[in-house]
Amino acid sequence: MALLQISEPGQSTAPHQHRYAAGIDLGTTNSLVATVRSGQASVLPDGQGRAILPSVVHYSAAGVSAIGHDAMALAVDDPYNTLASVKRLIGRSAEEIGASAHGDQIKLEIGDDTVPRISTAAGPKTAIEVSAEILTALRERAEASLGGELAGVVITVPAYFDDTQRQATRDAARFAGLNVYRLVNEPTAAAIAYGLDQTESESTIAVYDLGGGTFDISILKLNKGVFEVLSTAGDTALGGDDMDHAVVDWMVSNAATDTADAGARRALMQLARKLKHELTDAESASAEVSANGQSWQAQLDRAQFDQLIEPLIARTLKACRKALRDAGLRADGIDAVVMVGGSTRVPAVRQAVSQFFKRDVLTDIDPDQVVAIGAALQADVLAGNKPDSDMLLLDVVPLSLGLETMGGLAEQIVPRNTTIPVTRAQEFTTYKDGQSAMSLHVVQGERDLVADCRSLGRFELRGIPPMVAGQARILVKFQIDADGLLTVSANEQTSGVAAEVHIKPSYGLSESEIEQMLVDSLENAEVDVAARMLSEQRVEADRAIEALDAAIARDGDQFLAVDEREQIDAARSALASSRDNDDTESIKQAIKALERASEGYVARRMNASVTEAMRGKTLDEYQPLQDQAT
Amino acid sequence: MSTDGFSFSADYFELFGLTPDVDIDADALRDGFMKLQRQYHPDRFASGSATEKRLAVQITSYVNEAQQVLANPLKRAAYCLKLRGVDTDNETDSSMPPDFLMEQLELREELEEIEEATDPYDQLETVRDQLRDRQTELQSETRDCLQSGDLDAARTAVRKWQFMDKLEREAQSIEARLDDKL
Repeated sequence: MALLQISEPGQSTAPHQHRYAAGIDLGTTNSLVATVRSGQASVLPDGQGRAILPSVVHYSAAGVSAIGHDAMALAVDDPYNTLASVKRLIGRSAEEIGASAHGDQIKLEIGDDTVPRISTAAGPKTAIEVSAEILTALRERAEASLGGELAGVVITVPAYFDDTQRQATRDAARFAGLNVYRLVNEPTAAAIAYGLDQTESESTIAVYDLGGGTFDISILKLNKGVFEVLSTAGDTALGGDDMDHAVVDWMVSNAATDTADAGARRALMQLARKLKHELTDAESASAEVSANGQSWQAQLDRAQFDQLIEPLIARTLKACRKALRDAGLRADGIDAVVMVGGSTRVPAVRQAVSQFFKRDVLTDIDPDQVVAIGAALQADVLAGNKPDSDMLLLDVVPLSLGLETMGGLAEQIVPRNTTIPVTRAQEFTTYKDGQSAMSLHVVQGERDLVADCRSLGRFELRGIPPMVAGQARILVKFQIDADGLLTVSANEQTSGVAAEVHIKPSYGLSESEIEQMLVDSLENAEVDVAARMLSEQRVEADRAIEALDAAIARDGDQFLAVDEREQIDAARSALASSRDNDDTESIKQAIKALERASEGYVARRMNASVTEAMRGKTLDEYQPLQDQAT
Repeated sequence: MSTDGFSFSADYFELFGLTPDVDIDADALRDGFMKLQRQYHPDRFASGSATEKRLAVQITSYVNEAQQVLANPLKRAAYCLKLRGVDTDNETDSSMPPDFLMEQLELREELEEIEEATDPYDQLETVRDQLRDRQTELQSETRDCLQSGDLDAARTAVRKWQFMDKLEREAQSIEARLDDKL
């Protein structure tokens, strides 16, 4: 409360005390810390004047022996105790890591625990612990430089990070003794750094962020200081590392070098990186590749290099198209393109992006520092150091959230790119007469089928009072707070029975899983449609059979002659057996046949005006569904 | 900064200081939305009390929901009807005029043929233009019916519009599939 009063202009009860705040870019390859001093944001260098802290930690038997540049120097000689790119592992299960990581980098210990640990000389370490070491080094650097304790920080994460990965990043910050004001998406921080919020008129910006290990494209709208994320897309397993791998693969195929040994591959990676950096300014570069006692002079010119990385660039442009589509825009609707990440120094990347958006791209601020600088500016605002600031970040849900419904289908409740915080409610009903419990399965993803989405959690609503199918009114509410954490609750409206679950899965989606899920939602759209239709048709078949059984049990004897009953029974069993086939059309036909066989019966029942309750739901099933198109 | 003075009982239009109507001033909605966000966003209470933080989340959730409804012409029209006691979300009610069902079927067939067409993008644009025109017509129809107080006709117009909107979304996913094949 006190702080709120202080920040109210003209009502200050005490002079405002400046708080030390910092922005941290916790990157896959490199990390940085920046702060605002005298209104200027700048990156804080280490004692030797280096801004970048490589995200590398070396362990010896005694514990952490080196962080950053010093740790990197030990990588070739002691690869398994030198941990790099742990950001790729944070918030993930061992299974997911095994599938996505370059296997030569780490040794995983598989325990009973769901959190995977990496074997080191100092014992098993989680990605959270390793990240905490990097954050601690940055905190110490900032506090030494500022001469006081940090009140709070803003840490940036890829726009694609899900709840678990964000939570894991927060955990790492807690281990490092940091108070996190807010996690901010990296591309958003970059736009802040360019001061694009200062523009008077509304503008739409694309942030193209090709880092060491992730690619993000975000479309932002800026209006008088308010940043709004219109859409995000990307490829969470794509970056400068992949360019290096492409060059290494080229070396290997040309020099027939054996790279089974992790140390040798790392040495080649460093050479590849050197070549890549030289090619930023030079037309050709060369390096001596030596492995297994043999050496070879690698000569790479820019055209060759561009060819090697062309498929990688094409993948980024595909994501750009998707982001534009999600935002409902065309390339010419973009007013500015911000380039972020060291890999955007590659001339072919700049050229391709510039061509795609048909405009010059912004590259004035060092692409390695731009995110940390933006984070520092936002941290300064959240610390209350700029009470008059209009800057505000409106965040969105990165992946759609929904529930499993009949037939294994996913029903979206909160579509992706919905502004948070948000509360969405949807009504569901019971499927069977007297159903007393309902199982709720919360899923995340863009696909139609639950099997293709990520399961976030399950819970049950019990104690629903006995009612006719379709009469219960179960309100399911999804609540997402400002940090993107989800709570799902359900209650039956007529009786007030309620249940609730906080979604905290033990680990999140794997990078490749998110990417794959997004890719699949497009590529397999046709397969999905077919699968959905089959699934719907099966539900339809079950309903028809159930409704018929219920009706016959009630008044079959009264309204049905023996031969008519036999015909209906035959149609019923034909439907029951075709229901289990994979042929949508045959199920459809069998339903129609059953409808025809029972036409007379249905008509007689209607004429006899059976009780209101019976007519309500069951008979509907036999009427032609005009609404099927919707 | 305070979370006092926010009314959850205000309808969405009141919230942003707008007059309930099928047509609204998009800039005014945007300004109202930004004003409320600036005032109540949880980031404004980053150092506030737990109660204030919780209330800030509730308020912005409500504001976000209201904005999303009013920013979408169809949802906005349905909301106008809801304010006048007419529900348009009841999907079991399927009584639509036969000529409309025919029109709808034809549009659907045109959509289905697009992916096999030799010039799929042109075809898609043609259908989308039709869909957009129809939606614009239905928007004016809804507005006129509401102004003249014919709620039944307004409801039918919104229901038709919902069909068209659904087709439009299908057109979008067709475009996504086409883009992906490039």
